[in-house]
Formats: sequence, C-alpha cells, structure tokens
Amino acid sequence: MISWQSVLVDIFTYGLLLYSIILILFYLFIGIFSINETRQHLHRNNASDYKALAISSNAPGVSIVAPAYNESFTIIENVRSLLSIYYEKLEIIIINDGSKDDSMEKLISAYKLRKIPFFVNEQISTKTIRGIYKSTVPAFHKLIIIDKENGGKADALNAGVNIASNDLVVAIDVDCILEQDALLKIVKPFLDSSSVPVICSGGVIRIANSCEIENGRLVKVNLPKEFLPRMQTLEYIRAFLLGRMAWSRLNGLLIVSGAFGAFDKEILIKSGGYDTRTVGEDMELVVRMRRYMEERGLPYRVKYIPDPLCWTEGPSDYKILGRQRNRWMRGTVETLFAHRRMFLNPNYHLLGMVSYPYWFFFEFMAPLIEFSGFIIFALLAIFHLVNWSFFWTLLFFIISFGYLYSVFGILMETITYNQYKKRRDILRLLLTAFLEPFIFHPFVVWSSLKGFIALYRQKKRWGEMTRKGFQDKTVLQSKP
Amino acid sequence: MSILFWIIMGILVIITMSLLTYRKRRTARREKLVNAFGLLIERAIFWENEDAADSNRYSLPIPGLFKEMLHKKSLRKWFINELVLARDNLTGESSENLKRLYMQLKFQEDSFAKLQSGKWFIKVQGIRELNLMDQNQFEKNIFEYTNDRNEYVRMEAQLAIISFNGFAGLNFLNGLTEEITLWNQIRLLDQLDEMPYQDFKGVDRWLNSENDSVVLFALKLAGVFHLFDLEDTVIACLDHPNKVVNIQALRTLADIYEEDTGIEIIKRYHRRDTDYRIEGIKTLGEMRSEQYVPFLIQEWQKDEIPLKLGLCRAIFQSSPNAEQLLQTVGDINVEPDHTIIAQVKTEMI
Repeated sequence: MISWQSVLVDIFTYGLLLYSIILILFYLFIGIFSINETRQHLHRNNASDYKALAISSNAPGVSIVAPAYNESFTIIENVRSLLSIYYEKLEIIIINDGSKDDSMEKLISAYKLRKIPFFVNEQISTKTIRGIYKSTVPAFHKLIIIDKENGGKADALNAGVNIASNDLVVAIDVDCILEQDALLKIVKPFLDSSSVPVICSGGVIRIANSCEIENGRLVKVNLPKEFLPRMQTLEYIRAFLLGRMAWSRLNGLLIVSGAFGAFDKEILIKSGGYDTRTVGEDMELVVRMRRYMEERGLPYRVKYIPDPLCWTEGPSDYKILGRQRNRWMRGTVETLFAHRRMFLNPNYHLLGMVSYPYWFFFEFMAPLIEFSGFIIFALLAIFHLVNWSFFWTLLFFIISFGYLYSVFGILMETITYNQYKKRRDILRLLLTAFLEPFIFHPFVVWSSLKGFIALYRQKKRWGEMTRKGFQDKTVLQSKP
Repeated sequence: MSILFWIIMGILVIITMSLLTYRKRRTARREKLVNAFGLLIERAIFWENEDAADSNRYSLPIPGLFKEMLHKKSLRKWFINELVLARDNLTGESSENLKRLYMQLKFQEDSFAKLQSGKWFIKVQGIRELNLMDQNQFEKNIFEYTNDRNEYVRMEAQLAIISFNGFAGLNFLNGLTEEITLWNQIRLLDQLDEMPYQDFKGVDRWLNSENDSVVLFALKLAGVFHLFDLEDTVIACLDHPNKVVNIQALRTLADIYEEDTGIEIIKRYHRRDTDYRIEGIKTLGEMRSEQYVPFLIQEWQKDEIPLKLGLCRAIFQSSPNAEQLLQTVGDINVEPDHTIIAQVKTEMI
C-alpha cells in the first residue's frame, strides 16, 4: 500500500523535475534561437550606415526624456554627456522630479537657464509642473528642463512625454552613459518596414563599474573588480544577449529596460503613458503598449538591439542590490497582475500564450518554487524521506546546466561584442559563474521573496540608491 | 546528462579561449598587413599615370610579394575592403587612382561574384563595392536588385543606380513593388542632396503609384526639390486613402504652395481627424498668408486644446497684428491662451 507520505514526496520530486526540465528546455531554445538572430543582427549592422542617420536633415526628430531625482552630484556631467550626442534633430528633456538637493540650482547656473512660458498639453496627467526652462546659450538650444513636484519616475517620464515635440521618445536614466551611436541604433528600427511598425525598441545595459570614463564617455571597458558587479555583468550577458534576443526574434519581448528604451510617442500616449502605481513602470508600459496593439488587431513589433548601448553603475553592496531585486520582483508581480487577463488567452496570440505564461512560471514563480522546494526538502530531510541519490543527481544536473548556460553566454559575448578581451577576464567571469549558485543566486531569490512580502504589505517606496557617481579619467573606486 | 553538460562546457571554454588567442594574433597580423598594404595604397594615391590623358594605361608597379599574397582569398577580400574604405574617404585624383588600382587588380570580378551569392549580406557588400568603385558597367546587373525582397539589398542597389545615373536613376521607382522604408528614403534623399540638381521626370507617375511607399517618397521629392508644377497632383494626395500619405502631402505643400493652396487644405479640414488638422494648421502657417487668418482665428475660438498652440503659431506667422487680432476675439489673459501666446511670442524672438 502506498503511503500518503511517499505520494507527496513523489509529487514534489517529479514536479520539481518537470519544472526544471521545462525551464531547461526553454533556456536551450532561447540559447539556440538567439544565435541566428544575433548573427543576422550583426550583418544588418554592417549593412547600415548609421552615420548617415546622425547628420541627415531627413531623419526623424527624437526627444530624449531623462528623469532626475537628487542627482546633484552628477547631474551637470550627465547632461553634458547627453548634449554631446551626435544627432541632428534632437531634443533633450531633463525632468527634475522635486529634488530635495540643489540639482535645479546647479543646472540653472551651469547651463544659463531661464524660465520660459510653455503650454503643456497634458495628454497624460502628472503632478504639477512648476516651470519649464531653456538655456540662453545657443549651444544648449536642444536642452529643456522641467521642474515639477515629486511624483516618482513614472510621473516624471510622463511629464517629459507630454512636452516632447518629436514622434520618437527615448527614455533614459540620467546617469546612464551612452555609446556614441547608441541613439542611432535604437532609433533605426523605427525606420524599417512600416507595414509592421515598431512601437518600442530597447538596448543592452552593461555594467560600468571599474570602467574608465572621460567627459561622460566610456573610454575603456574593464571587467568589474568587485564580486557583485562582476556577477551582475554575467547575469546581464545571459539576460540581454541570449534571453532578450530570442524573445525579440519571436516578437514576444515583454520588457525594454527602463535605463534606455525608445518609444513611438503616439502609441505610448494612447496606451495611457507610464503607470505611476507600479515600481516596474518600464516592463508594465511595454506590456500595456503591446496589449493596446493586440486588442486593436494592429500589426506591430517590439525590437531589441543587442549591441552594448548603455552603461550603468551596478549595485556593489548587498543592501542596495537587495533593494533593486526586491523592486524588480514587485514590478514583475504588479505587471503580471495588472494584465492577468492575457494569461493563456488566445486573443493575445504569442503574448498571451507564450510570453506571459513564461514570465509567470519562470520569472515570477521561480523564486517561490525554489524557496518552497528548499523548505520542503528540509522537512523531508528531517523526516528521513529524502532519496539522496536522486537529490544529488538532480542538483548536479541543474547546477551543471546553469554553468553550461553561463559558459555559453560568455562564448556568445566573446564571439559578438568581445567587450572583455583578456583571457584573465574570461577566466574571472568563469569563476564568477561557478560561484553564482552558492552566493549570488540564493541572495537574489531571497531578495525576490522579500519583494513578494513587501508587495503584500503594500510597500511602494523605491528605496534610495546610493550613487557613487562617475569621476573624470578615473576608474570607479571600490567601496572601502 | 550532467557529464555531457560538462563535456560541452569544456569544449565551449576551449573555443572561447582559442577565439581570444586567435583574435589577438589576427589583430597583430592585421596591423602588419595594414602597414604593408597601407604603403601600397599610399603609393597608389600619389601615383602619376604614364599617360595623363589615358587613364586606361594606369599601371602601378606592384611588388611580386603583394601579388602573391593577393592570391589568398581572405587577404584579397580584406584588401578590397580597405581600398573601398579608403576611396570612400577621398575625393579627386587620389580617389580615382584607387579606382584604377582596384581595376588593375581585377577586383571588380570579385565584387561582381558577390552578387551571385545566396547570402544577402554578401550581395550587399558586392553592390556597395561596385558602387563605390564606380563600376557602372554592371549597372544592368545591379538594377535587377532594386526590387529585391531583402530591404538591404534593394536599398544598396537603388543607391548604386542613383550614384551611376544621378536623378535619372530614380526610374527604378517605375516598377517598384517592394516597400521603400523610411530608412531607405532617408538614404536616397541624402544621396540626391549631395548631387547637383538635374531635371527629372516621372514624379507625377510615382505620385499615382499603387505602392504607397513610392507615393510617400515622391511627395518628399516634390517637397525637397520644390517641384511646383506638381502642386495639383500633390493636392490630390490629400484624398489618398492612406492617412500617412495625406500628412506627407500637407508637409510637401508647405514647400510648393501657390496662392490658393491653403483653400484646398481648409476644404478638407473639418472632415479630417486631429492629426490632419494639426499638420494642416502648420502648413497654413508656413504659407504666411493673411488670407487664411480669418479661418485660423475662427478655429482658435473653438478652444480645441490640442490645436491651440499650432493655431497661435500659424496666426503669428501669418499676421503682423496677431496679438491684437486675438485680443479682439477673447480675453487673452485667461489660461491657457495667455501661456500659449507668451510661448509663441518667445519663439518668434
């Protein structure tokens, strides 16, 4: 007679095995699918003269919107970096989102700003705008500053979108360092086939820790010296080079990074703009824009550019990293919940039948399943119900696949963009990959769980991210 | 299975490390090649023909070692690329000398062979090389690709045809069934911008094309090159079923308007959506004619917020007494009128 305990153990064991196999198959599929798409992208890159776009008077206008909150330490340099972007018809909109420091005063002084009369057609409602500023210096004619009441990042972006005068809006984090041709590459997809118009495009975010920055430009790429940023480098390689490339090929991409993404302004506004009620406003917006198009039966694409376009500082201590992952998980949950109608809904085609379920089961549920698995395993061990041979085999299998996936990601990075040219750097990345399942991954899972708990307790604060800032001609310093 | 993963991992690590080593060596090798072949290119640039009147007698002495090296396919491919890049960055006799060197080494055969490749990116490379090296004897072959399914091949072929024939090369539009993407249109317009203007025919035909992208492009041509005699045909495009064509027609009319063009825009104004109206108002403003001020004032009074800023701009562009006129029809100190007027006045300074 089969005992209920052994039935439960079997359900748990084989359930976990099934989940792992499906996840691994998805990763395999993603890995293989990304190869050809990346190859084709590199060929398209070579066939495209991006310089022509930069200087062409026939190119479309672009409005960059960059929210800023308490960025006094770096704001001048960041704005200077944006002003040096090489593009003919460009408008740069910085939104001072009620900073409590002297960001606004510094901007006014550095760029000789004056308040101007400006009618805002508030197509998306936002918190009160206190003033709009432009520079009296002709060299800074592209710059517009919005000074507004604090409303959060989403609200600030909406304010920027409201006053943007161009049809293409590029949202960036103000402290992101862009590659010279980043804007050209992220805008170009919008100029491709109009029978299937692109509604948004996103780029790759890379970790800038330990890199050399001069005058707001990245001059030398170095692998981060600290463990946590190095770990994130590997994570971003896997996520951006493999994951998003494959999803983009399928036209199933659910997220464009909030640090750097381009949008069709008309569709963005018609979709309702950024949602101020979620901390994952970047993912939520893309899902909503896609949903808008699906519900109207309109053809569209969400494109992804695998080239390293944007460099940002990754958290280098556990506290800040934990807050970041906490927030990401909350954003994922909020987005999935807000659009739960799409789940396995054939009316939403690939979005509802593949993309959404994947995110639900393998991004949202994964930390829950892992944690539950750990608890159940501990209980089984206490009651001597563990099949140790099966357990070690399964564990070894999953960890081995994880390593394989990371190694594959490193190889893809080497073949394609080859940012880390030294053998020593590759070896360090490999070593980082081997340590991941024991240090980084459990921490991320734990932070994600805290995100669930925080959401449950209806916490919506962002948390403060301590900014170290980028210094001219120096490598980012390690935290003492 | 796990053992298999580890084996594959090991292979991938070896491949990664080997790739890094190979690239390092290749970079070092390339540097040597660049130095060596760079001298050849430099020599070619400054080489003076034996017979200055007969460029067909161009014959740069090429050392035997280089000739031998160029038997190697990969090196040949690389050197063609270097020559093409160098020519793209030079003008005048120096540039011509590079073309002569290219032909002396019979590289046009290599470039032409690329057109036969099944891979689109190789075709593109071939067309680009033949274009940049002015190999217009292959024009007929390249013309076949101007309507290719692949947009990159198509675009490169179209650019080449224009490069060979100037504005007359636009006749590929006659039979074009594939889309001219916005990117493609930008490249074509930029290329035409760089050429001395020549009268060209066919725009009226293209404005009536069944291919909407051809109509759009033709509208842009009409605007950029101020083809005033096409005004009537452009006005007809205001009634095209494709809304994007309507909007582009409005933009083109801003560049080729006649005395009563605005009346045609106004005739259709109330039957159209906000996008048409916004663009229509902009175009009326560009015409800077007092004739349309009463219409603009009338629309201003309707207080349609999305249109007010554009209307105000157009009124200020069209009348020197704009502020007084606006004062006569309402209190300009109430919002948003007050801010809108102040903004437009600031812009006009």
